[in-house]
Amino acid sequence: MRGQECPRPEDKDMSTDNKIVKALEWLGNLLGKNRVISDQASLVIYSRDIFMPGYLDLREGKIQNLPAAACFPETVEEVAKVISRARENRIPVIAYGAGSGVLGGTIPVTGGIMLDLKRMREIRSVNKIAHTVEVEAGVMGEDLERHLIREGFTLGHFPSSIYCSTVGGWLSTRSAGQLSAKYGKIEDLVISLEGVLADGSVFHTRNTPRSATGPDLDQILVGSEGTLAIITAAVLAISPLPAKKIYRGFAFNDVPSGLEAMRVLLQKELVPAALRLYDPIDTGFNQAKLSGPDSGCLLVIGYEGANDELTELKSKLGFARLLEMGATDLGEAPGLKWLEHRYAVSYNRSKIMASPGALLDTIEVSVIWRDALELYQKVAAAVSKLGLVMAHFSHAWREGVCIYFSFLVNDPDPEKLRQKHLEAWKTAMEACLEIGASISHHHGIGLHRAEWLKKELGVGHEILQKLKNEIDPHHILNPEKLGFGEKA
Amino acid sequence: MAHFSHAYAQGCSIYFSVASTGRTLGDRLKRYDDLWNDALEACMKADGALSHHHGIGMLKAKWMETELGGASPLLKGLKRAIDPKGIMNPGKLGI
Repeated sequence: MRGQECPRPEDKDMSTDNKIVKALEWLGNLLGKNRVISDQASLVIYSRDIFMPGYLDLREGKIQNLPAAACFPETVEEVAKVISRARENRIPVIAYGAGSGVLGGTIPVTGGIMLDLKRMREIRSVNKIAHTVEVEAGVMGEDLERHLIREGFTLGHFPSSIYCSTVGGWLSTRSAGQLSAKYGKIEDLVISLEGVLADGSVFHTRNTPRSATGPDLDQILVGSEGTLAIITAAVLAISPLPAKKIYRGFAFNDVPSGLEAMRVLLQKELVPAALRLYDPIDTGFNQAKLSGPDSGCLLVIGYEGANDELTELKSKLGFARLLEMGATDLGEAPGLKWLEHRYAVSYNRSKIMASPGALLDTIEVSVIWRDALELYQKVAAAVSKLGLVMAHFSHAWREGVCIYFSFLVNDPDPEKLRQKHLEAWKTAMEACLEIGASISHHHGIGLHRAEWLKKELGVGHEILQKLKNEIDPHHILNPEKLGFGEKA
Repeated sequence: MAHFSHAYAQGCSIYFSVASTGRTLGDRLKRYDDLWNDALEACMKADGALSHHHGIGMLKAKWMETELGGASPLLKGLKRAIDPKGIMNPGKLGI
């Protein structure tokens, strides 16, 4: 982790102090003093997300990476003004949603102003003909979903963080919801974006379903983690609220047979909404909670849709196919219990983290079917030397799958604990690079994966770095994330 | 005449076919230009996209600034960043 201990006044040089004093003044003038925070106690919340080293710092009573201020714009015009002034004054601006990122993507490593977008919380319109919603970046996930349900629709985006993450956060990291097989990831739902570029100019990309008008700029910005632009609103595709939900659990003897069944469903027009395979250890941990099998691997599957007949037929064919492939039917209970507990994972970690000397972290990666088993076995074998590791295959596509590893490591020595944590990550990331898998499926890059991202993208990262330098020459927007080096 | 040739949950592609004539070659070329101008101006006013699948090339380049809705600095920045001398297919896409 970069950054120093919480700065005492005598540690700071005068020019930085002056910049901050001035920034508070112009921010106050632009937004009003009640929409600017500068007291250190309030700023602690912005000094970390839930990236593990920050978690450990907190547990050890260390506070570092405090920003100079946080502010709360309410319109895209206000965001543009803040960006323009920050650029003139060479002060970093870090877009902030609900702080539930797990890779340090919002940590103000070089100080600056936190742009807390939670007051951009309007759901502007639901277009029932085009099946779209226009929504501001600061709207919390669950608030959006409830609004859509009242209108007879769903976004179909259910990350386990839905209660503690925003639309803007989803867009900036390329988040995935648990029903991704049916509805896609957030980038698949983007129809158009509104936001502010690093030069302070406002943009609205075109609200059309598909186009052939040059490179897809929306897709350059989605996943850019606030380094290229501030996304202030989006038009997203929505779907009719499903009338029928059919959930069920099955057991497979082992991971290879379960993975093969997932692939077949995805590739044979039997795509469900939810499809998750737990390895034997993950199955064991969830046995009681989900009424899983005593041994082997639990597969949770759910079909949903607005058309009852179609949903029933698909589920019938899908379940039959699983039985043909050697699955044991566990009935509805595991499916329904999973549905009931599906957001718990975002809150389980804090219980483990309450015990000093232990930590629990997760690593999600993306891999084509051909290489999925090899990657799973390689990472599981290596990380198990450091602690307890388990995995579930949490998102499936025609071409491959997301492997979601959870690992628990112990060490009474805080430094050694950190080393074990890093070693587990290093092992997993290097295995991905060696096999040709992607180092992230949906959590993003932030600070933590920066060096591995450079290796994954190769010359692609040089192109991104050049784009960053070109449109944000002073590196005002979220410095040092995504592996973007120091400003020139 | 037109056919609606590609459909999505959110909208569709409209595929217009046009035929026209004129007394002289000059008349015909002018009519051709006017026709494109009128069609694409109407498209921009109605918030449609300039192209569904044929692309931009040179013909539609002058509307790209409008098409991109303020995001053109991003596309131009990308072009400058990776092709600073502009040697890759100059004059296309309006950049």
